[in-house]
Amino acid sequence: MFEIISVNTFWTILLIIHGLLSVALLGALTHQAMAVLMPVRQAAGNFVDRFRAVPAAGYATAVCVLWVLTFIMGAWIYIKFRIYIRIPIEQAGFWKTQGFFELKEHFVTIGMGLLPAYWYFWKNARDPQYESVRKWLTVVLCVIIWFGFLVGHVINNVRGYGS
Amino acid sequence: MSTVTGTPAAAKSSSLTTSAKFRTFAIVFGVAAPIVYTISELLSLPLFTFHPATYRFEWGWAPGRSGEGPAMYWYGWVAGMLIGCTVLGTLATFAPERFIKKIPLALLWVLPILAIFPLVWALMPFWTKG
Repeated sequence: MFEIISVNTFWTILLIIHGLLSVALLGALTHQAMAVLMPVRQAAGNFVDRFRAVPAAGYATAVCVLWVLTFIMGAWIYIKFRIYIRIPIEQAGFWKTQGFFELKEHFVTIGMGLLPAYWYFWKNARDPQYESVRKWLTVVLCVIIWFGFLVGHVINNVRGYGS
Repeated sequence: MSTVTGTPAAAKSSSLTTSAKFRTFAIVFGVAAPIVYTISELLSLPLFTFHPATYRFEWGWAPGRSGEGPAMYWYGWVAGMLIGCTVLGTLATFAPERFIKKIPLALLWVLPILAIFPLVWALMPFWTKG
């Protein structure tokens, strides 16, 4: 394969797939979080109303699949990251940047552990006893994915796979 | 044709969404995940260590080998968390329903928030260098 594309290009493509999956996940979870935090009481009007007026329950399975796929892609490119990106980042003294990356990996892993419960509560969205936990689980997962996305973006700015 | 192929998947999904055992599994898995992961990280207890430069695996925690680049523990923490929580979740399905119903559902989102503090503390070298 590396006769067709360079090693850097290969890993950059994987990183872009990881990024695109995370964007889809970010969008789905943000729609859901907005829908549970500010449920629409009447027909959608402006952009914000329409943004939160989505059928949130329909996103649950997609969110779980996207989370796992994004996680797997991240775990794959992490092998390359550990040697060719983290070491230069540390040598350059960007310790806090690397610290936030470590936090990102912790949070997305814990977030993955929440997915079975998240999925179950959304599949029982009409059960009022799960309303609170469903709402806050969704918000926590949304915050995690925003944190992960932003930290990943900054890390890639500091030193990308093509460097 | 599509009705025939679609029915089993729909039935499986439906049975999971209404299954008390899956509910128990999911709740215990979710409550245990931040606990197991945080303890594994704080006590340096990965299931295995991975050496990315040589693709070598070692059980448990192992230091980086001289001349073989850094060691990675995150994969071992993830695997430990997934296996540990699966075991705990499965065992919980055999517990009486009345015990499971005593688990506050709020733990599912409170524990991940509480986990922030020890995890940030464990990364102190990153915050204090440079």
